[in-house]
Amino acid sequence: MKHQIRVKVNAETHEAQVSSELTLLEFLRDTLGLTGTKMGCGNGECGACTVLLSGAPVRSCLILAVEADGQEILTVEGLARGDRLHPLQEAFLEKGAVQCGFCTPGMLLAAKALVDRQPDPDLKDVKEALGGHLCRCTGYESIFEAILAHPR
Amino acid sequence: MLRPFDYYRPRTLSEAIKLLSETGAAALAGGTDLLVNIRSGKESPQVVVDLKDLPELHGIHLEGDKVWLGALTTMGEIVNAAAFRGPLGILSEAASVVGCCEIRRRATVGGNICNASPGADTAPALLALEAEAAIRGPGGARSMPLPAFYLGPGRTALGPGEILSGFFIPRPPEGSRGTYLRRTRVKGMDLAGIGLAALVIPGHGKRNHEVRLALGAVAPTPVRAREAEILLQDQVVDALSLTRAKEVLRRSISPRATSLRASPEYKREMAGVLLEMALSKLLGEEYAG
Repeated sequence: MKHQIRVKVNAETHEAQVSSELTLLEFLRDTLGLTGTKMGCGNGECGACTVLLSGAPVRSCLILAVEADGQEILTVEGLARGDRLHPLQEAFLEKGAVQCGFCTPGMLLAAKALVDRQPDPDLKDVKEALGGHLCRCTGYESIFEAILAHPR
Repeated sequence: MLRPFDYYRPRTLSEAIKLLSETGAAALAGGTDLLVNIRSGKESPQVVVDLKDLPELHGIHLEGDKVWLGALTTMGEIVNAAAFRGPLGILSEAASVVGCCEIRRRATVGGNICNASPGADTAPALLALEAEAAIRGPGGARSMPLPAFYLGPGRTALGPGEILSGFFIPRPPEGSRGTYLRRTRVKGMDLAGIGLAALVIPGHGKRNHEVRLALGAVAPTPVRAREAEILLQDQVVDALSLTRAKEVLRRSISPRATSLRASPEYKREMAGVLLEMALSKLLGEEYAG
């Protein structure tokens, strides 16, 4: 079964025909070619597929594309302004909070949702916001530091 | 890729009931269980019926002396709801430990109950609060106490075409306090190895009029622990009554030998430990144990 959907992704409006069973993650990666959002576990456990849906972080592997109809989505590709990286991206670079990079898009979007809501989070807030994000390289410390130190 | 199915998003309850009456139809709320189950092959619906546009399944408001909690209320909404502070705070405490931020944004309380996992975090809280499940279906509206809604692991009393629309939760008397404690293997993003909800309804002086206890992940369904409750009712909780209640609690539960997240021995021991922790948290200095 096909559905006509209209979504705004990184401030750009897209209209598309999607199958019922297409996930939002597959729509972003395979239909729109926005491969910054990663497919990790596919069960909502790892956080790699996190995007912002109407401003709040969600697991795009557990949402159907058709469910997102009419809503606004932000992916990692939408964080930078032209050549200017988002302050969180700058902070991740500064603190070396990236190794293989697979978890980074999800971490960045979860962090963005946090600092949008709470511009000056403490370590407990950061750990709570990233509680559902796995990183197998960094040991997390550099990621916490980056978010705590990001320029406001 | 998920196995193909047809997706419908009905705008009226009657349309939703009709769609769900067909065999092979599955209800979709937050999707945090359903999509995982479809991907793993545990469920393979031909039709997925998204309930999110049904106004009857939304909202939190007072109805007489009860609070109405719509089935589609997300864990995040419960955590932020003024209604779930104070005497009903036990539910927001339970909702606050489900999954992680992203899961709590989507996962709904109705879905948590309908998935009928023995370890569902909101279930012990709703059992201790004596919530009633409200159901809409081809035969109209009916309701039942939550224990009757649970038939077994993954099985509920919902018949074909029936939808859990929400819960009526009686407001415990002012001064009542509750807590939900659980044990997990890791701090975040884990399912409960065991969970315990305790609600203390104050009586006169140091005596508690009523202590309600409910547990998750210790039996085929979430369960009230009535035998242990009786030992604490109208009592000053002291070392003796607590020891007895812990012993009865340990004996009254039946964790399965093949439990995934904790051994039966651990669960029995931990049921007693969580009871003691909960009572000391809720009774503070009044607690003489």
